[in-house]
Amino acid sequence: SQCGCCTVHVDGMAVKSCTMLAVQADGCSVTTIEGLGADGLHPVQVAFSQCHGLQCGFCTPGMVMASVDLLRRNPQPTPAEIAEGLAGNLCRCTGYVNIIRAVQQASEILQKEAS
Amino acid sequence: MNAPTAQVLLRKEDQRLITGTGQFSADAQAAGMCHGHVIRSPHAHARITHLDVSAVRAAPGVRQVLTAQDVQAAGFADLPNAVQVKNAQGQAQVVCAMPVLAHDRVLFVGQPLVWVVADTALQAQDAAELADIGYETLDVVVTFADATAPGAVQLHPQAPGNTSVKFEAGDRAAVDAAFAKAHFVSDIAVESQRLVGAPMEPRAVWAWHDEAQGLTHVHTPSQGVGAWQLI
Repeated sequence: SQCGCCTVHVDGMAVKSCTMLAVQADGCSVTTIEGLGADGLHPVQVAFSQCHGLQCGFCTPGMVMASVDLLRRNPQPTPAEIAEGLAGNLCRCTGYVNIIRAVQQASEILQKEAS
Repeated sequence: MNAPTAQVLLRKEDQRLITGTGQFSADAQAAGMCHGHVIRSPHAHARITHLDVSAVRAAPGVRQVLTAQDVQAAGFADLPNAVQVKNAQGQAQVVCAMPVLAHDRVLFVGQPLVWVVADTALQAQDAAELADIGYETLDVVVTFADATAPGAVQLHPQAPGNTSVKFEAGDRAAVDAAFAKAHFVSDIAVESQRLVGAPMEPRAVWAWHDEAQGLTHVHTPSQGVGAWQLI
């Protein structure tokens, strides 16, 4: 697998779509970055923008999809856990510091929404 | 006067990028658009012993295959050099021609050799694999010390010693005088690292010719718009 830009959710789990055959998705529910924000922006999308977690934006769809799945599995990750959780997604311009901040901010917002 | 209020300034371009609707060079689409692929040198220094692209030309979807011969026949100039410094003695930097496509020799890994144009990007890439190119590898120089050592392989006949220019700035006599008066003298050799730009997008270009207006439109993700007019 490669840069992680193409990450989508297959039955809610983050998958790099370039590593999966189309037939393997038969009968599954697939959500792309376009579908994630279909009913208004997801808190992770908002946090990436507010925390300057993107510059050129090429890696952003994959970063966002991987982050949403990470927060589903681990709602309050530490910076180290976020770094490990996004290890399969490469950013070539912004760097990872603000991406980690964005995931932390999204985590806080999702916690508030849940409580 | 009100104190300035700290507030987050949101980027105007984020909406499309966080919703998967950003457009990058590879997303460019136009009716009848063809895709190019560059065959590049796998060697740092080699003589090209033969170059046969007939199988590339015959591959499915291929519209055009261009080599250095075609560049020459079209009368295209070599790639321009943006800077040509002069040293204190007025000697201009030797600028060695960088061909659009390499002809007899390649001088670095990745140097363009052949331009393949096909209906799709994948067809161009598949066709490129059919090129029959022979190389005779030559000695390489990697560091400044390698390149300027006696007996080093010479890369350009017009730049003996692999030297483009010897450059010195400042007032040597004044500096020497100042050092002569100093209580303590130390010296240091500073090596400048090689700088290579890492563009956000790979080098990409999208162009079309408008027959009616007699204009060729070129779209490219580049900071150096002015320099494009030199090409």
